[in-house]
Amino acid sequence: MKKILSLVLAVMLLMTLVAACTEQPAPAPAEPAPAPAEPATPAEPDPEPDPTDETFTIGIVLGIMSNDFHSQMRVNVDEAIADAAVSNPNVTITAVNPQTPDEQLNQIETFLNQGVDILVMMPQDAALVAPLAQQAYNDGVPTIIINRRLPEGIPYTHFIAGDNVDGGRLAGEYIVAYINEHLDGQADVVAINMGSGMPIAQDRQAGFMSVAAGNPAINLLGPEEGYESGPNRESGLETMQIVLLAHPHIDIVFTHDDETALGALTAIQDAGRTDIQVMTGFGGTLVAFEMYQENDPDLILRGTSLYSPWMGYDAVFLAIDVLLGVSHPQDIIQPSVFVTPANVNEFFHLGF
Amino acid sequence: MSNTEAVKRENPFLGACKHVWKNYSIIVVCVVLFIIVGIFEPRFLQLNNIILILRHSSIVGIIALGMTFVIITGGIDLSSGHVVAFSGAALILIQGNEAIPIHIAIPLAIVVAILIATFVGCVNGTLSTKFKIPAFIVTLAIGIIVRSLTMFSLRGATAGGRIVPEFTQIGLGGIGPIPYSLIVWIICAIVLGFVLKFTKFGSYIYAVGGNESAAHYSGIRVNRIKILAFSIAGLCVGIATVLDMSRMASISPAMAGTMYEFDAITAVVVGGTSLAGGRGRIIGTVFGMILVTVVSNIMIMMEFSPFLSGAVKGGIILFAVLMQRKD
Repeated sequence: MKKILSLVLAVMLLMTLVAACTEQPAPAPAEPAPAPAEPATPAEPDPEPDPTDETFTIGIVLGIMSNDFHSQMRVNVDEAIADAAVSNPNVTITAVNPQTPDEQLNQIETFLNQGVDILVMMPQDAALVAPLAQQAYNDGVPTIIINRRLPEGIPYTHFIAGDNVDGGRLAGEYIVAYINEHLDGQADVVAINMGSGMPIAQDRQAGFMSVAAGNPAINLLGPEEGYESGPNRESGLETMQIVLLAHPHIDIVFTHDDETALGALTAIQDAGRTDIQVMTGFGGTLVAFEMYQENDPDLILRGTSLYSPWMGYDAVFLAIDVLLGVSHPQDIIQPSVFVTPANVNEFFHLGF
Repeated sequence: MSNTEAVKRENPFLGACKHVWKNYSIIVVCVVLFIIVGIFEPRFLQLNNIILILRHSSIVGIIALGMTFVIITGGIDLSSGHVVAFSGAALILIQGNEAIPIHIAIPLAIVVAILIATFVGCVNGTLSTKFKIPAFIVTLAIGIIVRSLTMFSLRGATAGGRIVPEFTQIGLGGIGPIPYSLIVWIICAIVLGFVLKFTKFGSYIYAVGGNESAAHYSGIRVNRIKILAFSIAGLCVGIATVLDMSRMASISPAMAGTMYEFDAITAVVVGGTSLAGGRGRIIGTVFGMILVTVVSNIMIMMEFSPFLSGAVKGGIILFAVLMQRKD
């Protein structure tokens, strides 16, 4: 019996190892992200390597794959690595995803010890990685930071990110415009956040509140931080079910995430509530984009602040440009856009 | 007056109260909490809100029922939430497979999901008994493995099934105002409560958890009992998975089932089951689960800042445990 069990365990472990090592077919490459916004402060002079003879290494430490955004970012980075293998065969690029913030620190440290030429990282916790980012700078290793800015005073080579605050602001402006056009200038609005402890949730809510706070068009129901939920459909569903009971009348729902919005939408439809006219999401999931393409006039979900994981793809080629001595602005902030049924075809390729 | 006479003359009402407090303190704590919140926010006590609290308690509540068996035997299961994701992925992939007619895909998906979860539970029990590895380690490792396999199979991305009422209504629908998930929870609680309290198997569960050596020497097949306990836990996870994933007919491999095991363990312990094993009741787990789940409802109904949800949850748990302390 023990032998059989040992054999079963060994087979399970072997299958896991084989599956992990098996190469996956490269997905079809898609178009890269739109052009960056206005240039910020110029970066320090980039090194001038000889790209034809020397080999270079780039280490990429991404975030914890806790949701579709991070999963898609990893897919995009893998696509970039595959494309770079063709365009820049002398550059070896390795990407990893941690399971925990501490593991991310270990991965960054490992890359630095291995002597990578460029370090690309998406900090899970910017304060935690700051000492290692400083160390990389001291060691002369260019660093590219994705999506989460390092603490003030920590040097870096480039920062590439989406703009969560601006995305929240765009959603707020859309909501105010809708209220003024369709609801006689006043509406009851609830905000459903994706986890109040997450910095990006705080940024998105801050952007929304920059429009909503003190605005006579918006009567915000509930706490200023928004009702607590999570970046997944089930959390959105359960939170919205309670919110619907707490408020017999709601006009508009602002959510921090498309997945949250999809769950909240199910709750609204299941409850048969007809008072809610508009819901907005954040992110850019293809499920939402496909809904916009269908353009059902009865659809409550009307818009998404686009926050594309294609910044990961761009970050890889930004790193290669650093090796090639091509200059770029130090901060590359991808502009936020608000995707609706009217413009979804223009941005559909950026969905995930 | 002799002591005997004094005992005989004890106030029967007081005696009844003592009996209720001694045996059902968790229920008293729940009622007290509900009354306190209801005083500050009357909407909290509306029937539809009570039903909603029970609905939201039911999915992890079913998992907690199985967890009760495991913990009474002296074990623990840290894989529950990960197995929800694992079996949920199978559920959605089968249900969403356009090559299978929907009237076949749905029952097939349900059966496969439940079988997978039960099998993993059996594996947990087998590894922890036959190989004498602590259940904490076994279930932790198995949980990590199955989560990783789930992420790998779905490439980390949300997968959707076919959104048809025959499927989504499993998780969203009900009989009148009573959700199916609540009905299933109640049935599972009654069945498992009966098994634990009135069957020989149930007595063996307590015996193994109370004193494993004594149970062994009295002829109880300890390993078999533990494996069955873990299998029951797996079965409960499978049932909960079907109710959970059918609501949205989709699964997020990274987020599905997150922290379910900790909420289930908390419910079991708050409900009076001893982590050392040998003691516990299903009724306690049921009300423990309600206490764990009610926090989010309170936060929204009373419009507390979401930053305080952890403090409120911890406070309720401490309140419940302190109120139940038996000197």
